[in-house]
Amino acid sequence: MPDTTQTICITGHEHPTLACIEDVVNYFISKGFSVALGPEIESEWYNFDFLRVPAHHPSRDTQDTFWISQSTVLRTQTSAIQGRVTKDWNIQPPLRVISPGRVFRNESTDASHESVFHQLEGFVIDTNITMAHLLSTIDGLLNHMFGEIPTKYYPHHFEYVEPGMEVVIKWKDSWLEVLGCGMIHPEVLSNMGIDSSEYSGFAFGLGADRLSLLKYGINDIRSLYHPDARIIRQI
Amino acid sequence: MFVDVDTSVQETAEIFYSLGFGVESVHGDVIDLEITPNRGDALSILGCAREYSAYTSKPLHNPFDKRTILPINDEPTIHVTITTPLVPFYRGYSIEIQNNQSSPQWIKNILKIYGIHAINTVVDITNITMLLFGQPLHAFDCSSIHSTQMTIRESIDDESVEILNGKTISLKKGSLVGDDGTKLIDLVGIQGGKSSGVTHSSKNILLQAIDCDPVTIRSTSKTLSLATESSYRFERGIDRNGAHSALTYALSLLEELCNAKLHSIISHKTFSTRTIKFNTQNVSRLLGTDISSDDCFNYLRRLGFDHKGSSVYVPSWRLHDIYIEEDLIEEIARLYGYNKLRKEQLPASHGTTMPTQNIWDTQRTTSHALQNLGFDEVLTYSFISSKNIPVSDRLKYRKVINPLSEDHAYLRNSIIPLLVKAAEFNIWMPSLSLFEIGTVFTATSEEIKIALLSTDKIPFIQESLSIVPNQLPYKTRKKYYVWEGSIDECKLLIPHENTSVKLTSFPFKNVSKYQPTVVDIACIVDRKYSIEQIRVTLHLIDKKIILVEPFDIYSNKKFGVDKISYAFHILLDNSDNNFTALSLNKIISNIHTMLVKTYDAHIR
Repeated sequence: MPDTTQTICITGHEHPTLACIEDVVNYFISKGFSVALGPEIESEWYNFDFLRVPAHHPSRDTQDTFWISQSTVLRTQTSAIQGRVTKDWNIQPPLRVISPGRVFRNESTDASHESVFHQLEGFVIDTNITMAHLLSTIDGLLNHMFGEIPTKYYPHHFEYVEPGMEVVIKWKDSWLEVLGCGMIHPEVLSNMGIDSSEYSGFAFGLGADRLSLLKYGINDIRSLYHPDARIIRQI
Repeated sequence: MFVDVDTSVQETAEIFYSLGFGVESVHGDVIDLEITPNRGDALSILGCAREYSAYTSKPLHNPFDKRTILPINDEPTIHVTITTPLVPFYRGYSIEIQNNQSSPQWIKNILKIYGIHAINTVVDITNITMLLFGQPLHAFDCSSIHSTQMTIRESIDDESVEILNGKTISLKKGSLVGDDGTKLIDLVGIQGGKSSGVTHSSKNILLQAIDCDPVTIRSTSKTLSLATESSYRFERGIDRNGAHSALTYALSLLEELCNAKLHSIISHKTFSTRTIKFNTQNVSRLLGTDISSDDCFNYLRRLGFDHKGSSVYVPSWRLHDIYIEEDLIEEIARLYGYNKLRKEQLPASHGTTMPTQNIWDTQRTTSHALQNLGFDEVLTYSFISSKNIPVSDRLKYRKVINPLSEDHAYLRNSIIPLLVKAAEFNIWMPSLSLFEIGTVFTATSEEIKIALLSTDKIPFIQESLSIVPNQLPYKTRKKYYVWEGSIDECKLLIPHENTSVKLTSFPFKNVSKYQPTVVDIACIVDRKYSIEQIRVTLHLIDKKIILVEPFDIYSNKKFGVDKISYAFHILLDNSDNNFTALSLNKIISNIHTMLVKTYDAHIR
């Protein structure tokens, strides 16, 4: 019998955040959504003003921004895709869109904050869309991700939706915010060139990194962007 | 003071949460609420009491709302002229006081909860009134207002004002200031001037309540990096109709604590109102839940919205956030309860006119193909340090105007340097193959690229570069093979086959910041034992073991035909950076014992 040596190649690991994103995106593709990817350097208009976050309004304070030029930013939210799809690419309803991507906030980092992270934005615009559809869609998503889990909806303010809300889930005995959503504001529909007397819609956004931290039990968001083989290879 | 609260602190916190006010913390009987930027009206105890009253249907009392105030003189003792439309409301009380010592303890206690310093009774009363009523007040010492004249106007370029904290601030055009003809005595809406501040010896004071343009206040506050409790409220909008009760409350405290007498009232005002056409049928059109017309108007009434037919009158304190019918419907939904709303599946039929962008699918297919070849997917920062870019090359990069630090001053034009940095961080890993799919930037554009790095030659990419130690600009300790290109190029190069072994995973363990210790172990066992079986046993031997990765299988006639050698890298976490030789040896000895005992292994 000859001597044999076989080197073992271990299957690589998917990044935890991207694994979560892929799972959510595939879920929405199965619900008839299409994927749209927007640029990371975004105009101030699509990132803020289009979504009713004007320059001289305190709502800007909630999103500390990296500026690239007088009128361009590193996008602070994937919601900028709403304007890209409807105005820049001129795609009109019916629309069901899911958009993952990297976003940026100019804030100091700690175990639960990174200046670079990933969000997922989804939106639906059609005739006769109501908050009942939104609630059912979010329930479906959370059920898909976490199984049967207690969920609550609370009013919350985001400039681009009305009404707006925040969704919390019960996770290991505490309630955690996982998602923001609401009915698209008529002024945003108007910015999209969509007649709000004919169409309505909803939008939701979630932080993909936080979900992956929850799902895998990782305790520091920074380890997601500073690759550590000990973490990657456990996933 | 405004509403009877008969719920427990926890229940009260939950009520506010369900109304849309995030609960930051509950300590004793203090609830710290997150007030979103649209709800300036709720930045006061009165505002919160209104919400509580609407939720519980308990009556709201504001005893200062209707109280009439009679000054001693008819003629104003101070003359205030307003020359800007940016201050649409002004009400000032000219007041004589007998004393102004330090405040009673109950006032100090309340201020302390809010983190506001107690100064003297008059100043503390202005602050406490603001906290209770939401109306910022400012008190001037009249003796320092030159010839008892003050003009409120927009600043011109190169003016300066010395504010209460002692700093002299240079102003540009367009801020709001108070001017007594000789000097600026107030940075209106933000902070008072030092020269006119009220002190222990003040006798005649001007107590003023104003409203000013939110955008102007915000712009000045941002430019000067000077945010105050007052500017925070003006930016979010205050209730002009509330100034009367705030001033009246403040006066009643001044009478009680400083023997105050009101001499005269100065007043300039414009009020605005708003009505919204409301068709209650649109409630179910937006919410998908039927709520009767009566219920809708009842919820609105509880929140202070009157109506006549289909016209709804917006109360003065909600003029800053209620503009359209959808806003009214949100108010109704808040009181109805979001968790009681009906749910309905999206109809399956309509679909979407948006074509799916193939790039996403290509990215994920390529990612999985690389994982099958043993590459780990990582994400790294989009920023790179100015130190890593030669000055002559900097124009080719996209710069961030306001970076976190010089180490994050530019956007990456390649992922490779970041993969190299990641590999160096994991220097203890005997072998490593990584890739990242991400956006890279030139001075004018961005595109999605994929970069690969391996400590071994990448067999399917012939032209991969090798980076050797100390090759600039990356000072590395190991040699790496790297490649970067478009996803489409990568897709053509990589074989779509699975040459790797998938390992079962264990519950995730968080790791310490210290470098792990890597121990290699090879053992000869009977062929009937699988390498995976032994890996699982090894993993469970000690809680410090984070990973056990097999790296080769070897057979040799010297071992005997039924024997085989398996080799593993074992990663041990250095949880407190004091892995002593002793504790390490103990774990290794446990491993040996276990292998010998369970598998009759021969350790090589």
